[in-house]
Order: sequence, then C-alpha cells, then structure tokens
Amino acid sequence: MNRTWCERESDVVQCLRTGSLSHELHDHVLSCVVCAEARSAAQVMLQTASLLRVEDDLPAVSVVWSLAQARKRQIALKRATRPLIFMRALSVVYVVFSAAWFLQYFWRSNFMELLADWNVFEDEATCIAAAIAVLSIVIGAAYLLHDSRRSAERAPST
Amino acid sequence: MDEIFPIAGPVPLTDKEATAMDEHEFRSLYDATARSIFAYLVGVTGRRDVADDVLQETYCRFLVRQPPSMNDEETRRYLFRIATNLLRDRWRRRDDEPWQDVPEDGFSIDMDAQIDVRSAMSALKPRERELLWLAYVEGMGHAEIAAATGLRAISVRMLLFRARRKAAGLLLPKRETV
Repeated sequence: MNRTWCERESDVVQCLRTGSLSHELHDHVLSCVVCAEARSAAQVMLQTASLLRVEDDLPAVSVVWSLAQARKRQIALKRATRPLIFMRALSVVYVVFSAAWFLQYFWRSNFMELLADWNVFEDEATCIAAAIAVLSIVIGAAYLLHDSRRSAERAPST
Repeated sequence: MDEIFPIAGPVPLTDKEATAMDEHEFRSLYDATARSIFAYLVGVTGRRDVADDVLQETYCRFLVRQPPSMNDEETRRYLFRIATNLLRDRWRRRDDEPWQDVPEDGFSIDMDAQIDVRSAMSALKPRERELLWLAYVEGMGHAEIAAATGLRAISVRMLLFRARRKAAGLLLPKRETV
C-alpha cells in the first residue's frame, strides 16, 4: 500500500534544515519510503535556497514604505471624493431628465400660445428661482466634468 | 457612512489608521521577514525581477490592509499568503513563464549542484514548488501551509505527497547513477 505520510517526516526535515541526520534517523530513512522521498525533495529545495543570494537584491525598505504611503494616500483620496462622484452622477441625471421634460412639454403644447398666456409677473419669483437652480446645476455639472477630465489627463504622469 | 470623509477640515483617522504601523515598526518587520519571502519568490518563480515586483506589492498590500491584532507568526504567514496570491494572479494572467533560469550572478559557483537543481526545479509545477518550499525551506506544517496558501490542510497533505514524490523522482535516478 502506498503510504502518503510518516510521523517521523517532520523530524527528518528538521534535521536536514538544521544540520545532518542522526544515526537513528538515518536508519529510519533507509527503511521508510516516505522519509526517503522527503529527504530527496528537501535536498532539492534546500540546495536551491542555499544557492540563491538574496541579501544584495532586496528592495530598500524606504522604497517599499514610500510606495505603500503613496498607495494609502491614493486610496484615501478616492474614498474622500466618492461623495463628489455621487453628486456628479446625480446632477447629470437631473440635467438629462429636466431637459427631456422641458422638450416634451414644449413639443406637445403650442409654444407661442404658451408664451402669450404665460403671466410672467404672477410666477416671476418661482421662475427666477427655477432658472437659477437649473443654471447652478448645469454650471456645477460642467465644472465637475471639466475637473474630472483634467484629473484624468494628469493621472498617468503622477 | 464612516467611509465618507467631510470635504473641508482635517480628515479623521479610521480605526485601522489609528493603529497603523509606523516606519520603525515596519522596518523591523521587513528586516525579519523580507529575506525569506524574497527567497521564496525567487525560488518559486526563478526570476528576480518578478520576485522584486511581487515583494514590493506584498508589503504595500499588507500596509494598506493592515489586519489588526496579529502576532509575528501570523503576520509572517499572512505575508506569504499575499505573496502566493499575487504569484497566482500573475500565472493566471500568464505574465510569467513557469520557471526561468536565475541569472548566473544569482547563484553561487557550485556548477554541478546548480545544473542538478535547475533541471529539477524547472520540471516542477509552480504550485509544487510553492508547497515544497514552504514545507522544506520554511519548515511549515500542513496547517501552516494551508494558512499561507489558502488551501485546505487535507489538500495540502495530498498535493505535498505528489510534489514530494515527483521531486524525489527527478533527483533520485541521477544521484543513483553517480
């Protein structure tokens, strides 16, 4: 039967990692297929590890630290601008719906009749308020759009 | 809504940031763990440039996520886990060849051993190299390997058995004829 595990395997590996096998373990390895395989496999890996020289090639800790700090700032900025992104999307939706509603409204009614019947003096305050609101939203949306484009253009160079 | 910061005024620290590691602590952690993780990455990929990239990304991710309350051993396993996941992402995207020769200056001048080990390492699959490295170079047990790779302990035992048999088979015939 094929054994996949031996309770002495970890002892064999530990001895190979720290030094050489004791006589008792050496005898065990000769009689145990699992431990013999473990010894050969461990030798491949330990030999590879001993042949590699990693000390000279390690990236400097300051480089890694700065990289992580820059990444953290980037994430924090992204998180902080999330409400702006939400407001931008909301304003675009509002402008599109308002435009659609106005167009549909004027399309269905006779535009000139509507203008003649429209009592500007009665609804003046409401109209001015609505116009200011729409204008502010349009200007705000345009500014945000312009700002995001500018940031996107600047992003690759940073 | 604790993730949304006010636009004006100082940005408040989250719980994670309040307990964040400072540069001095990070330096000690890096000194204690970076060598073994870098050796693992070079051993598994056979490429120093890839190992370098993955090592930097590993520590970056660790610092950004910074899981709270971990002891040294758990932190070490967690770093191995991040590194292993990053390697798998690269292999999934087929960014790297399975095992490339490490440049001459990366090895010592023991040429016989070098050729033997290179051919054996090249013949192993990336996952086999990962498991064998963690088991025999890092001395991790099955449970620790499971934690460091994201595999189940029972799968680790079977995969390690197959990898060990394959590695031994690659080396035994050559050594027996010498």
